[in-house]
Amino acid sequence: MLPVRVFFKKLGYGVYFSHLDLQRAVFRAINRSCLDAVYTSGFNPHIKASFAAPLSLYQKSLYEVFDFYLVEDRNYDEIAETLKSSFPPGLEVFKAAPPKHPFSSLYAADYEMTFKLVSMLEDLEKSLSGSMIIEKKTKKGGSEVDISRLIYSKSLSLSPSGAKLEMRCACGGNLHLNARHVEEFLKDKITGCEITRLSLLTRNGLLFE
Amino acid sequence: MVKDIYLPLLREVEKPGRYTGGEFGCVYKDKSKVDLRVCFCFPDTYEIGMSNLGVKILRHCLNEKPNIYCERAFSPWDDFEKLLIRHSLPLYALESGDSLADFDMLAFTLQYELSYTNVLNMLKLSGIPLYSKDRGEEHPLIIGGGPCPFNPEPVADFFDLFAIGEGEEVIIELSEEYIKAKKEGKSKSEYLRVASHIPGVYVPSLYKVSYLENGKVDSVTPLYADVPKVVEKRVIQDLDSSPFPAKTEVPFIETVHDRVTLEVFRGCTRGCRFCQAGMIYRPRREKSPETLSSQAQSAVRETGYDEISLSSLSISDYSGLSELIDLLKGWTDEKNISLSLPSMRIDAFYGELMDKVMSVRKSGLTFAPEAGTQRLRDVINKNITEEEILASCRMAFEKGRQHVKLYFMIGLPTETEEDVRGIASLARNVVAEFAKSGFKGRLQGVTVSVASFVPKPHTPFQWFGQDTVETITKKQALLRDEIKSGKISYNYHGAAASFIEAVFARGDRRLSKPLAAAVESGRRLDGWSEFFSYENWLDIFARTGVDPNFYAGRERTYDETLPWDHISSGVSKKFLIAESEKAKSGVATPECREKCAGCGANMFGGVRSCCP
Repeated sequence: MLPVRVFFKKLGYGVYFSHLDLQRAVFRAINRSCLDAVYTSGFNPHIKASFAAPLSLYQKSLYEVFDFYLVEDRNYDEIAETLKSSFPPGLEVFKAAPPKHPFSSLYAADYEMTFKLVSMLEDLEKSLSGSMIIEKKTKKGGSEVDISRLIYSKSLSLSPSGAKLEMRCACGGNLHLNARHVEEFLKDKITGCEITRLSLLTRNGLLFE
Repeated sequence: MVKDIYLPLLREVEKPGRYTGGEFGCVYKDKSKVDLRVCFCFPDTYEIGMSNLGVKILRHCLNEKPNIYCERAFSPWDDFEKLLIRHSLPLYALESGDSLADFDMLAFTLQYELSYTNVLNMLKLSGIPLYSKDRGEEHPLIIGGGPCPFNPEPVADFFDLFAIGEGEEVIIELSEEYIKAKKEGKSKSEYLRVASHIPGVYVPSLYKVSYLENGKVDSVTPLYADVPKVVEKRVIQDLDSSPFPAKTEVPFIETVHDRVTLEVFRGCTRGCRFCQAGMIYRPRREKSPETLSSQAQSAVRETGYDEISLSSLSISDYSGLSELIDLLKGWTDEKNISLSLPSMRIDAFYGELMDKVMSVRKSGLTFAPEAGTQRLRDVINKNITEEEILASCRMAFEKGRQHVKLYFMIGLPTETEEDVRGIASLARNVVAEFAKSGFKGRLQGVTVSVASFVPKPHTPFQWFGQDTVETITKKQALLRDEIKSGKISYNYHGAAASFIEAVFARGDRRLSKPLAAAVESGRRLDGWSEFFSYENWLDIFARTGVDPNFYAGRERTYDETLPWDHISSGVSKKFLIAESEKAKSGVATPECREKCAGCGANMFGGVRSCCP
């Protein structure tokens, strides 16, 4: 059994479908590739696979990761090439390799948010400097959450088309921040927000590979 | 692909994946290098439309031609529709992103009557006039096909032409004739006249409908001698060599039938008297198990689906079913591909088949007894006994199935309260059968799903009146009271929607007025309970001077000219009358393979074991 970690981008059409849709699309792409994948056993067998971190609708990503297993050994570059041609538009495979880090070591993700400013940059800086309280809907009703503790670092700058916020946020495991919550927190001050996940990182700040 | 101007709108809708296009397997062509641009329009949502095999086959036929480019469009959900209207943007095709108004031809498939408002709404959203008489040379040709055009009259004023019957050949003939006409500089009306000579093509503007003083149709007559008096449906003789789309778009979002659909045969030999499909798709023609297995293999390879669904009417009647399942199992199990079957006739269900089919994934079992008593099952010619039903369910339970779904109809001709109670009693007997089966597990339940009967054209029941909404509602309540077991769950289809469906199923051209008025007042998505409004429909009928009961509830006599008498399914009126009379006396007719009942469908020729 050969463990395979696949690295891919989610762009274009990819931003319009959900995490569940993504999983289905990946399974079908593996089926089309004719790679001999390992299946789960049980009443409803499916390809044995794990996805590193879900991405919300409308978010792009330059660095997505999933693991699956092949029944027999194959060259990783060959696997990547095979998957490239069977993946649908919007999902671009750029690497296949043996897993280097366990999923439990996933700690953070880097994001880039670009937007147009509705208020002054200083107002935005001020909002981002203290606690960032958002209303989180749960089954039992709403609860207030401070998301600032889930943002490990951030940098705000002006860009030709507006402004750009780069941030490193909690990802995976117990602590996880959906970048959409930051957009939601800033909704009165920004417009036309585009979110791109740039990379996934381990606790040591290494690229999750 | 969707144009940039629409992208911000996609952020505001519930399921943007419905409107993006760009799925794996999409067909793109250079629109400047083709002679004809067709958009296949499915008048319902993406998830429903992308599940339809017929449309996939026909688009495949068209796109196989290098000089024809066929794209797709679907009805938008109300969220996207509102945004299109607010931003004054037209509805577009998913491949090029061009407005529907930019096409040469829009081909609508008419699968159910409640989608008629969606057809008109799609035209409206594209800025195309609804009535064919109001459209000029600059507008696309609007064509219709599918089962509903076997009575095309309620929508006849909106369509330029209909293709009656199976479309694989006629869609190409119509397209080639269109390309020729365009090159020769012919007008739309000149083209339509030529098209009316193609077998299976009905051009409504070339017929005059006259009415009697009592409101019934007097006659439907061609305006010119060269236009056929009766349009006979088209039939594909050899299914093995008919086009099969192995490579289809694989949707990003989940659709209703998200799998490979394998059409095993067309037509049905059983002759259930309520069933329009069982009449209009005659004669029965099969594909060979070898062809099917090889087509399934290529479809799985091209799409990556891990499920194959066999599709046909009455699948257990397929002569090569065991052989087909064996052939499929020869390669599907090792690839972890599961097989599923549609609802089955109870008499033909057998355990070995279930074991084979369920070997990869377990799925639900569905049977369709249709009526609760033997008397009524004889009236509708269902030809199954309660013993057979119970034996099949017992076998299912013995094999470890813990849930069974049963389909019924209420409002069938001659139905009494006893027949309605019979549904509950049959369901109770099925529950009791579980205890007898000896299976040690717990019965999860028996689902009783009840639809309301809608009399359909070209069936032996086409002359019967439909029960009123009040009567159906009372029967539904009676059944609810009768089902006391917690093991039986009961659901039923809204009586009011079935009433509106019945109006349009057997309607005539005068129904174009309420349809157009409905769409102008914002009606659409009538097949969806959240949008359907009975009161609104009654109000529209009242405003447009149409009595819906004239169409739904009225019993017709055999000598009445029916609005669809000029459309032939091959099944003769003589046969339908004989069947209707036998229904009244509760006499069953043996199925075609036992004894030919002389329905008339063998007029289409070909060598078939079921037709002499």
